[in-house]
Amino acid sequence: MTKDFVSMKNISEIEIHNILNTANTMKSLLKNDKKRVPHLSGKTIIMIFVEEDGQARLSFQLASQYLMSNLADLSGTQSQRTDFYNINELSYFIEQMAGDFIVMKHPMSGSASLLAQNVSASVINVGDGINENPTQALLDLMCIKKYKGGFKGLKVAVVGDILNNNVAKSDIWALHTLGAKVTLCGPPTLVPKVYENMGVKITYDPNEAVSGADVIMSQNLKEKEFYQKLLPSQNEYKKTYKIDERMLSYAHSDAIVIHNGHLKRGIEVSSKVIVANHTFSEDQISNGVALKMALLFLLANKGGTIG
Amino acid sequence: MIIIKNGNVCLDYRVEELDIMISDNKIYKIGKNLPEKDCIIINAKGRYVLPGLIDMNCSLKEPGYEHKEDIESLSQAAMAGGYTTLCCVPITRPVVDNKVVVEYVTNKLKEESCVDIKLYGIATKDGEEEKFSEVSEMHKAGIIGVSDGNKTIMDTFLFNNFLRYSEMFDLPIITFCEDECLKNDGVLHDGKIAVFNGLKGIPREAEESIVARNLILSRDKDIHMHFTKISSKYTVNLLRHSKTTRKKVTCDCAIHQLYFTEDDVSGFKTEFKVSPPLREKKDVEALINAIKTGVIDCVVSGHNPENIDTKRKEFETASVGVSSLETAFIAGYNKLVLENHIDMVQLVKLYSKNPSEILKLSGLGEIKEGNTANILIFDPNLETKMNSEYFCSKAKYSMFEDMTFKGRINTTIINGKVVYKSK
Repeated sequence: MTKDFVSMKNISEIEIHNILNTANTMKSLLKNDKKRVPHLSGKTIIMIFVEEDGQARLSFQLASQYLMSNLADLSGTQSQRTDFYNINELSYFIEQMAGDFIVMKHPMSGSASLLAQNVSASVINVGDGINENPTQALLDLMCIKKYKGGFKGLKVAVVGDILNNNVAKSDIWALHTLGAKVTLCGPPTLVPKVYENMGVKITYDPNEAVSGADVIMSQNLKEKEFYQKLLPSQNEYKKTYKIDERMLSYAHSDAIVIHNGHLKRGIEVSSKVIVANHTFSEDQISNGVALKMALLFLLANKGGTIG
Repeated sequence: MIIIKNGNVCLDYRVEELDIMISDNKIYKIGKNLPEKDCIIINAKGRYVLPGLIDMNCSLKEPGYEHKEDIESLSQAAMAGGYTTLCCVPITRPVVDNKVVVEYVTNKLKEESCVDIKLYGIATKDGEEEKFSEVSEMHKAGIIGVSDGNKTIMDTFLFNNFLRYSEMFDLPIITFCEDECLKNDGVLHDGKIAVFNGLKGIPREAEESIVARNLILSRDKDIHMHFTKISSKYTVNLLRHSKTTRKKVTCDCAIHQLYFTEDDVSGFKTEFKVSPPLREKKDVEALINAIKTGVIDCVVSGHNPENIDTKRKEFETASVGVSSLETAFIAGYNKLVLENHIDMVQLVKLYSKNPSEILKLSGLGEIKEGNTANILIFDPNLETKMNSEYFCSKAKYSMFEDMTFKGRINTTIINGKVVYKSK
């Protein structure tokens, strides 16, 4: 594995599988009474959440504790530290702290890769603007792997806001690498035609997108106000793009529905589908913790396997 | 008196080996075997002797932003690049929007600059879209054109009235076309690189729609409209069509638009973040073709020096600074002449003659007896490796970094005085 984990674009198929397998090992570790292992003993993780993300932050905190590393969280002070927006100043400051890992969520695209160029520590991207969020995408991949066994030849429909969603981009890059056939679907203002350059199919008709699909990924919408000039209303959105039983009838009979982030029940996915799908009852936090442990471990050991 | 011997002099329609005699600040005589008595001799054998270059779109940062570029560093950079006249966009602080500022800056320029720096006035007061500025007063104080400050006036009613008002004087109106609403915080061309890097794109339509609007608004008015820094293939089509029937429509493009595409931006390279954004290969081809067919009248440097700290940072907030006065002509020579798109005479038209005609700068842009002795001697036999560290400009970065070009600026003469000589 390379020094950093900032993008799904340049991660190979083997590396993704390696991370997912390691995460499964870590997950079984979490079931033990004694959860702490000294894999990262003596190492320091610095967390910078210029944008808030409670779930990712919590899982990194837990992962750090279980791996017995030191943790410095700079996020709490972010409201006073506007210079955190400036990556050059930030990296200068961070470099002096001599951390081993930097976990960052930042509102600007490309910020993680710029930071990675400027520091010697390993940078883990938890979201850079609307560009990528490879860490969160791994969670989706873990879920698909669990229910579908693999990725080759899978038909995946990605429904929702792709344009403003960094997890969606990472999902698409990874699925493309893993050999899945991806179709994007959503209103044209949220799924521009130019995304065909990512090697995916685009359709505005949800039934066509879902037709024969093995996996349906729902990408979450932001708050209503965000879409003022992009959508007439969320009501109209849900009439076409809500994932409900009628839509699922076009999909493969054992298709799964995946959603991560804050689910807008009844707008993005219908209540019935939520109840009927096991994926929604997946333990996102413990999966997340296991994944983050795996990432930290692999980066520390430059891709070595456990045991 | 100075005599330039045996240079390949670029005249109106041909290049010929001639001598040029300069007396005071004028070109006194052009001919073969001119007498050398009492003259300082400059041997230009094997070199081109061209009229001094005129840049139609360059940013003056003083007063107000001296840390980015002051008058001295700007004029040094111009001389090193072969430019003898710069026409500057009025985005200083205070903005060039009234007679007093025009007079103040003009006087300052006279004192501090060897290069002839001319000013555009800004069309609207403070550069804000509330009212238009006192153009008539500024005209009397010596502005050579009116610019929108490289920022489109989105208020169509205001802009239309401004154009109507402008019919009373004979000044070209320099418009930069980019629809702010369509731009919508975009930072690069809306194409595959925007997708690959998760950045917001600026569609071509942002430029084209405003070009179309401005063509329509100026159609029945007696004004000269000049479109600056065009970048899109379809803009070229619009202008080509319009130029078949209208004389007072001209346009230019920036030199980097002929070299680079969105692919160069890939990997968040902020040196290539420019305004308008670098587009696609088909746009580059269309621009070069437009130069060949005469649709594009001039090539500009688009020199817009910004602090290096604002340039080398995260892509979204990085500035759109360009430092290109020292590279613009050599790059143009390599791209357009050496790749056989046009000949040297046409290149000189793009860089000197056409700007002087559009801006009605008398006695400039041509090597002719009686004209001001602004001359560039260009050596096509040497090479120049671009290294921004040695730039005279304060903005020490370049899109052309480490590229090796054929040709070197040998000597720059302004008002009959040698102001720059290459080492």
